[in-house]
Parts: sequence; C-alpha cells; structure tokens
Amino acid sequence: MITLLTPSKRAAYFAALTTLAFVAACSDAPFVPVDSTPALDARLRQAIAPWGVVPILPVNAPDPALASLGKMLFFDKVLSGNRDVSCASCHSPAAHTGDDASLAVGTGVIMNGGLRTLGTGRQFTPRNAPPLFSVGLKPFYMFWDGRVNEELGPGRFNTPLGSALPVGVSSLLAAQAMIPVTNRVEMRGNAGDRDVFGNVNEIAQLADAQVAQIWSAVMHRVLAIPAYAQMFAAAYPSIPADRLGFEHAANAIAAFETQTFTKTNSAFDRYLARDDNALSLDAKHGALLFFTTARCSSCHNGPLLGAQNFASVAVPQLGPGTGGATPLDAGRGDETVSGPARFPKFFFRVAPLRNVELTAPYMHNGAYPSLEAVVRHYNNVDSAVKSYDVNQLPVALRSSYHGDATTISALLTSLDPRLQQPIRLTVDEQRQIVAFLKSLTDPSARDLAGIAPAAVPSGLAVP
Amino acid sequence: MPVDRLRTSVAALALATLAPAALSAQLIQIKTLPIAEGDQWRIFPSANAPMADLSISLADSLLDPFVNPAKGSRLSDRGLFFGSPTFYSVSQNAGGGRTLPLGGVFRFGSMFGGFALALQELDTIRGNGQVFFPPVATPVAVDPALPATTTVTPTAPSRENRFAFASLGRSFSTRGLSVAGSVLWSGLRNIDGVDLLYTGSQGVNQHGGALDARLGLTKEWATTRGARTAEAILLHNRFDMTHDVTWADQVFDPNTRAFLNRPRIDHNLDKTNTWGLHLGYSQPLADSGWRIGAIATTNLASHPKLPDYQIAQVMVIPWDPGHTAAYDLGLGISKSRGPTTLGVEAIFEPIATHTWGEAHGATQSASGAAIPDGAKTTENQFRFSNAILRAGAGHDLLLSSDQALRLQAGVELRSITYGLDQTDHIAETQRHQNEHWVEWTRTWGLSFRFSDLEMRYAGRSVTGTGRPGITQNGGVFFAAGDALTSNFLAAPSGPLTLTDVRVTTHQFSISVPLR
Repeated sequence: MITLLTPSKRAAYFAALTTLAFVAACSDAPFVPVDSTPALDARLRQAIAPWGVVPILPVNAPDPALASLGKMLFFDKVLSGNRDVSCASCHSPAAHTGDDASLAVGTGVIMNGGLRTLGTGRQFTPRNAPPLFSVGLKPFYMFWDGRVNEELGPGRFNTPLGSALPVGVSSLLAAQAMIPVTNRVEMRGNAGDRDVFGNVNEIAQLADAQVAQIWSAVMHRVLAIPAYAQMFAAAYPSIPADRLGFEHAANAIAAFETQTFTKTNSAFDRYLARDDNALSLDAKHGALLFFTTARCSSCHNGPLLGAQNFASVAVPQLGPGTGGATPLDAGRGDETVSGPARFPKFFFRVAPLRNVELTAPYMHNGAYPSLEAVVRHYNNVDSAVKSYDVNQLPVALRSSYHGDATTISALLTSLDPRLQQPIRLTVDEQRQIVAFLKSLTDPSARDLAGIAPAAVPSGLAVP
Repeated sequence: MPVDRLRTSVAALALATLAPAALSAQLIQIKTLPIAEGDQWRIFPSANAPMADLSISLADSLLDPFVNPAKGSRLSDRGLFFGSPTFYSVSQNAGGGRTLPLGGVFRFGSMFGGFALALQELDTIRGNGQVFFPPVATPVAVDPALPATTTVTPTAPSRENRFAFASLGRSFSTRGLSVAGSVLWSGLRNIDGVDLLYTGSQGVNQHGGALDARLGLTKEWATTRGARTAEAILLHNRFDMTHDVTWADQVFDPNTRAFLNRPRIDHNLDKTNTWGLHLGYSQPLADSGWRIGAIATTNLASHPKLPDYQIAQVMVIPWDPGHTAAYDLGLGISKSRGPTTLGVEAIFEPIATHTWGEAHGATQSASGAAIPDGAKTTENQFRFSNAILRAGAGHDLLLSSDQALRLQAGVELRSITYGLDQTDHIAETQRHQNEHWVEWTRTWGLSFRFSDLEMRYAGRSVTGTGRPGITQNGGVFFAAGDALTSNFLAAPSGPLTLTDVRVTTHQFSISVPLR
C-alpha cells in the first residue's frame, strides 16, 4: 500500500517519476531505416506508384476467324519473296518470339544445324528482332527506332510509308506488319532472286517505292491458295475477295500476335495486383533498386515498363548499320527516320520489359547475351562501352563490331545524362535487379513451341 | 520557426486500435506515434477538467459517477441533470467535432444511478472541394488526349455518433460500501481522423461500436480528518469497428490505352477487447488539508484484428493480432485550504505490447525456410515507459451567500517513451528502435455556482502532436496517418512527417441539482 511508505520514500518515488518524465522528454529519437519484409513491401509499393506501373487488364479477344487467319499468315513463308522466311522465322515462338540471334537474318537464310545463318550475298538485318510480348498492349512506338508510331495522335499511324499506308490498317501493330514484306533484307529479297522452288521472285522485281504493288503481289500469292481464300472470306465476310488488300492480312497477323503473345501474368503482375507473396525477397529488393537507386524506372516506366520513349544508353555498335549513319546505327537519331535534329544520335526505343528474361540477346543489336551483362552495362556505361568484350557476340558478327575510339566517343557523347555517372550497384544488387527482371516472366510464355501449326495453307515448311 | 512546424518522427507500420480511452483513465491509451487526437471521447462533464483532469486525490463530482458508477452514491442531493455541449477543433483545419450530451444522476434512498445520451457530429476533413485523395501520379508519356482516370464515386463518410450510458447501484451506508454497474454503448460511424489513415483511398465508411461495462465498488471510512476512500473497478471494453475503405486502383486497359480506376473495397477490422482492473485509494493527511491518493490500473487487451493502414510516407505493415498488458501506477496529492485547491499527480505507465503479422499463404524466408500459412511473418515487441504529470489549481471567489465563481487552471505533461524490438521472420532480421515524445496539455476553466444551477466552462489545448498530411492552409496534401482517438499502435520503421497541430476543446456544461 502506498500509504505504508514512509514520507521519504514517497518523496523519492515522486522525484523518480518526475525525473523519468523529463529525461524521456529530452532524449533524442534516432531515425533507423529498416528493411523488414512487410516494410519492404510498403516501400516498394510507394516506389512503384509514381511510375505508372499498374496492373494491365486483359486484351479483348479478337474475332476467332481473324486470329486463325493471322496465325497461318504469321507462320507461312509464302509472304516472303523467296518463300523462305515467315514472320515466325525471326519471331519464333520456340525462341520466345525472337530468333536467339543478335542481329536477325532475313531472306536467303541458310539453315545450319538448326541455326539460321547468313546466306551467300546476304547481310544481317541491322537490328535485333524485337520480341512480341508487348506488341498487343498497344505501345505508341514500334521498331527499335520507333519509326512506326502514333505520335500524330491515337489512330493516326505514322510510318515511313507515309500516305502509302492503306486506310484499312486497324492498329499500330498492323501498320508494323505491313512493313517487313516490303523490306528486301527481311522478307522481300533482292531483284533477281529465285524462290525456294527456283522460280523468279516476282515480288523482289518491284521497285522499292512500289509498296502498294508489293502488297498486291503478296496478296495475289496468298489468295491464290484456296484455303487462304476461304479463311479471308471467313475473317472478312463483308469484303469481296477483289477488295482484299495486304492490310487485311496485316490486321489478321496483328490480331494473332495480340491474342497469342500478350503475356501479363508474371509474378510482378500478381504483385501489382496486391499479392505480396508473389515476389521473392531478392526480386523485391531488385524491384526497389529498379524503381529507386538504379533509376531504371526513369525510362522503363508505364504499364509496359518501357516502349514509350527513347534513350541513348551507349550500346556498343555492331552490324551493318542503317540509314544515314551507316555503317553505324543512329536509331531514332537518324535523320532519315525522325527528321533533322529530332533526336540526337544513338537514341533507341526503351524496350518493354515483360518476359525480358526469355528474349536474349539484348539491346537493339543484341550486343549483350544475358541480363547480367545488361545490368553491368548500365551500372557503369563508360566502362562497359570501353571494355566491351566482342567475344560475347556470335563469331559471324564479331568483325562487325565498331569499337573504334571515334565511335565510342560518339556513343558516350550522346549518353543519357542519367547514366553518365556510374550507378555503383554492388554485385549483389545487380543480382537482385536481375531477379526482379526475371519476375517479369509470365510462366505461360516459357514454352510457346506448341503454338506453331503443323502445316500452313501454302504447304511450305513451318519454321 | 514557422507556425506550421514540420516535425519528422520515426514511424512506419501503422497498427492502431481506436477504442475510446479518453473516457477515463481506466482504459490505458497505447500510442506509438505522436499523433494528435481529436477530443472526440470527452463526452461527460467534469469538474476537474480545467485542472488537468486531476483525479487521484481529488474527487470529481461530475465525472466520477461515469468513471466508477459506484461513486454515484456520493451525491449530496437527490441528483442532478446536466447538459454539456463540447466542441473541439484541430488547428490547420484538420478536424473538429461537436458533442451534445444530456443526462443525469439520481439517488433514491440507497439506490442510485445515472443515464446519459449523447449525439456527436464530426467535421469531415475532406470538405471544401479539396482534392483530398489525389489519384496516384502517373508521369507516363501517353498521349495527353487520353483520359488518365475515370471517376470512382467516393463513399460518403458518415459523420454522426451516438452514445448511451446507464448505471445503477446501491449503497450500504452502514458499511460505507457502494456497488454499482454501468454500461456505455457507443454507436460509431465516424472516428476522427481514421480517413487519414488510408492514403489514397477514395472513401472510408466506418461502422461499428463499442461497449464498455463496468462494475464499481467504493468503500469509505469516515475519520475526523475526512474520509478515507477506496475504490475498485472491473471493466470490460469491447471495441469493434469496420472500415470499408474504397480504393481506386489504377489499371491500364490496353484496349483503349486508358488508365482506369478500378474500385476495390477493403474491409478493415479494428477490434480490441480489454479487461481492466482499477484500484484507487485516497486519504487525508493529518488535518492539514492535504490529501494523498494512489491508483493501480491493469489493462489486459487482446487485439483480434487490427487494421491494415496505408499511411503516406509511412511503411505500413499489415497486422493481424496482438495483445497488450498495460499498467498505471499513480500517486496524487492535493491540498484544499479555504477557497483554494491545488493538486499534483504522477503516473508511471509501463506497457508491453506484442503484435505480429501472419503469413497469408505459404512463404519462404530469406534462407529458404518455409513459413506456413498463418505463421508469424513479423513480430513487434513494444516496451513502453510512459509518464504522466499533472498539476492543477482552483480558486473559489464567493460572490454572495449562494453564488460562487471558481477559477481553475492546470497543465499536463505526457511523456511517451518506448523501445521496439522487431523480428522479421521472412528476412530473418531483427532490429531495435527507441522512440519518445512529449505532449503538453494546458487546461483552464471557470464555473459559476448558484443555489439551483451550476454553469461551467472548461478549455484545454494539447500540443506536441501532429497530423500528417495537413498543410499550412488547411488543405490536405496527402492522406496520411492519424490515430486520433485513443490507442494508436504503430511499429515505426520509416520517416513520418507530421504537421504540428493544436487540439483545442471547449466544454460548456450546465448542471441542475435536484433538491
């Protein structure tokens, strides 16, 4: 009982309480940042929030007849002048919509032990075959240099073809699909080429500027095949056969690609949908770095984690080059692509990152064979460019590496200011970022080999 | 120093139980962030409120019957009716409310009791067309012509609360013993500041209530120097609120290239059940006018479910259950000489709280060990050593033979100090953190006492706490954490920026004695 305390004890007790209160009031409160796992989730969600990285709703299912037609066209080599490549040749489902090559090999390919190798007199395409996992999500830019885009406004497709692009093209993806068949290196072939049956490649005889005739020639081939005539009639019942243009084929290919290759059920997508357990601890730490310290999200942002802007990251130059900068590749900065002074040289489209784990090699020219190498590059661009190891390239490409001091200097001069200083990630942090990048993989994207049809209407071999 | 002083504290994962504790000292408040509390729970009139709520060695003729129902036996008259409209406001336009209680206490022979009804209306902080919960910023280079968001209709916040109190007791005058029971029912639709706990939400619909049941006992021994009194209260408090929080999750529709807001409603439960035992004793010291008292209070609380708050700039850990053992050990001394009353109280308040998060689905720890569904993912052990000091004074001025004016003033210092030991079973890490802050309360008041009427005014102002998300001009720049009413548990782990606010309360009461 308090009342049993002596007066001196009472006084002492009271004094102790008083002292306690004031000592507590005067002590300092240190700030202790912590990384407990639940707090990590909170921090990560806060880090993600400003970047517009949000869950993606499903794409609308296309008309089945349209998608079926698109599927056959996608795999059918009849679309190529020499009847030797199809869309799937460079965007092979077995290779996760790529071709496993740094630079794509187009028509005139020689199959060498299952590998597509450059045919006699042929050249590599200047760039890596872009993966198709995000094309159905309606990015504003197609191709590494973004030359097919909707910069003029939604639904207004801006392409190098200008006014030649038919009115009936239904999407930017379809607009993109109009182009490879006109490209001599990719699908059309060179004048004088003969197709795989030894016949004259009639499409290659046309002048480059005759794009409408090129598309007509391709459609003439396609519609000459009864099965295709039926499929087009099913997909476009209200359009007479004589009014069908290649834009209808392109629309069908786009529908197929959208339906088939849109893969947005990755662990990270589930995390965005508020499943905290979807990501591993490493992936969470990597994501936190990605959206904060490493500054990856300053370019790779938005729902697609990219695909909506351009950046110059000083990727080592290799390959035949293209445009006005040949033998280099100035990307979006090529005046023939975007007009004078629109972009500095060496700007390329920021790649969308979903399923990036599956789409090696990386960058616009496949300069890096692994995600680890890519992250190392970003961690210290200056060092990575100056010490680029050409041995990581396929043998056939090593001689095309432009490692001269002038080129390297030019690359570093145009380097994005955000990358001019090393990011200084530790090896473990780099590993965590790679873990995050791997969390962007939709499990259903890992094995797409079953997508390929057993046969296509032309009877040509399915790649 | 600017008026709107920003103070940075350390905070992170917020878990709060918002049971009404301010009703009495017998419910011990738990608070881990220096959050400003609205004076929502100050419902009943109090004679000692202007004297820093002194209660250990000084009787409070108005409030005591509502704290310990057995003290209703002390009525000198047949009873009294009262009305005590109370207004509080939080500076920076950060909240406020009005409460109108009406009630009375009565005595018929050996039986006594009381009743009260109260209606309460709280100001919404979301008013005036402010963009209260702006959509998540999306600096995405999409075409500006495209819609960025679609509208999600906010849930209209409820604003009214209702309270009902009843007590009944019996005194055994020959033994100096009184026994009584009381029940306070609170129908709650709005707890001040809860909206602020859900950053980015479109609306919070609160519903639920609290039930506070008490069994009180008093024993008095008359002595030549005054009465020695002892009291005991056994209480059970059940607090059960649901926060239906509407979120507007942004999603991207690739078909239209538009960012849409997809409504999502979280049903956050905030439950705390408390058993408490309070013991008090006071006696005069000699015949000097001094009186000394002591209290010992124990609260054992379980938190079956605590809300998952989303607090801006605060790392929020999803919490599940927890439990608390809280104690108050207090000493008070007062002196009444002639028209003057002085009092001082000191309370030491150790609290131990254990909260944890549970795995929702099988999880792996950093080393690969399996954490099964329902197992603990994170544990927090709080150890509080709080201290409360109160001092007050009153002076009566006799205006006439049956009229008196009483002037009162007081100050309270509440020091909150705790250490947090946090164990993260997923990351397999541990950490320790110390926190403290001090809250100051200044009180003042006056009362007129007439032969058939008493009119009182009590004012109080609390500083040393803040509310996050409040700007100088009263706007809200982000939704943020607040705890407001009573208990506020949060295991800090990140920076929390609070804007200092002052909570000011004015209570007017009129009591009419029954002769």
